[in-house]
Amino acid sequence: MTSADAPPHPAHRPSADAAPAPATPGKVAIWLFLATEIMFFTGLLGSYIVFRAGSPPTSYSNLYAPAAQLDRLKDARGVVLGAVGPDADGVAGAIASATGKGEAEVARILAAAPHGVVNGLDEKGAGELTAALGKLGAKAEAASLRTSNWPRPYDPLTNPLSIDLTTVNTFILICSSATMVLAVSAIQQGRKGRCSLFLLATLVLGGTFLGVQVFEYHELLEGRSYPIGISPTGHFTPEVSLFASCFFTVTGFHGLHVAAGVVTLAIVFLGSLLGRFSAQDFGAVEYAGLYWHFVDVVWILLFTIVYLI
Amino acid sequence: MTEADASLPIVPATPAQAAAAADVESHAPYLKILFALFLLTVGEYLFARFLKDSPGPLIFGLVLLASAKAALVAWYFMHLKYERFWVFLVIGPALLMAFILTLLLFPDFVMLPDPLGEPVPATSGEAPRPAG
Repeated sequence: MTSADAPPHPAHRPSADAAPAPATPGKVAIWLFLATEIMFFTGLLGSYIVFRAGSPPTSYSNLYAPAAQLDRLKDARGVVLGAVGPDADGVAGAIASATGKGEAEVARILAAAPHGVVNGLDEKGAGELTAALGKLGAKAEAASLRTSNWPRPYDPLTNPLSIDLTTVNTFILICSSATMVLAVSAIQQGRKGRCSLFLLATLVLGGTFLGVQVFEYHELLEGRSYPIGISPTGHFTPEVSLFASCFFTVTGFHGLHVAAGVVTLAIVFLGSLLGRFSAQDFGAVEYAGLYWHFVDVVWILLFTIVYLI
Repeated sequence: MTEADASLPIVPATPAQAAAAADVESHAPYLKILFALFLLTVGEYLFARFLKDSPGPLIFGLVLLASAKAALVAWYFMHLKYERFWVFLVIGPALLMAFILTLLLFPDFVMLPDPLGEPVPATSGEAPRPAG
């Protein structure tokens, strides 16, 4: 350990009340900026809440595309295809003959298995198709119409979001917030090497969060096929439903903030490597940290509102 | 303004005061806070998984847990615990306006029309039959 990295008398610590943090122009500026950001994200999340709570109770269903007119379809039945089985052509033919659907639409249903949805059936037709698919070795079960005003968490027929993956990603961002505050703490104690190390860790964790979000976007937009209750096209793109538009707007703007934070952290990290900060001059590290923690706080709320509720 | 004007919201700090403040902040229990955040995240995940069919308790519990997490990050990681009153003067109006904005939107989601209670519009191509 170099003399610059040595902790200054850890046994002597004044109480928090004895030494309130000083108000520097930079800190006032960053807090003013964060106040405007509070309003920005309140606008986004407030709109999301209104759109969600104001949606009619028949906006989403397990059998029909979002915003379909379900007034005359209360008795509609469908079949959920859990697995296609060994005879994909036979399954496709059975679905096509039972519903009159075209080749492309049947292909989308098969691609969405284990959550492929065949709609446009009555009770008798759903029973017959379920039996026919069972004989072909496919796993299928009849389903009646269920509606909701918004896609429910953990409902793969209306909600494409992966809560498991995003919970891990949320904790990654929280860890990056912890490494960020440890970087500030290190430079406040004059430990420059330790500060650089924690800044690098924050950078890596922030980049990982962004990477997972890009992966999630890819899966939603192109990578997977989803049932019709999520999207009539099979892909979760912003125009397929109000939920999709809100999801991409809210998480997209947050992702842009994280990306801006990662760029800022990279600049601060380079400055730290060049020895620009010290125990007497660490404003840039502290301001970057305040912004980064704010982004973390926003994600904590956003994750709960958009993914879990 | 002198150093004695400690009652004012913004007071320039002496180098000694700044060093003392940095010393206080640098020794906060950050790893304990991280562990608490980990527990709260796991709690949120389990809460959402096991109460997914009970909207009332789900929303109440999750909002409570998320607020606790956000408060921990703001209080310790953003050093609100160690800041002076001026920071709260800066973010207070923004938080108040955010609250008012959410409150003003409330009628939009409690005064909902009931679409199932409304008459079903005629969607067939047939012309309506004349009365009588």
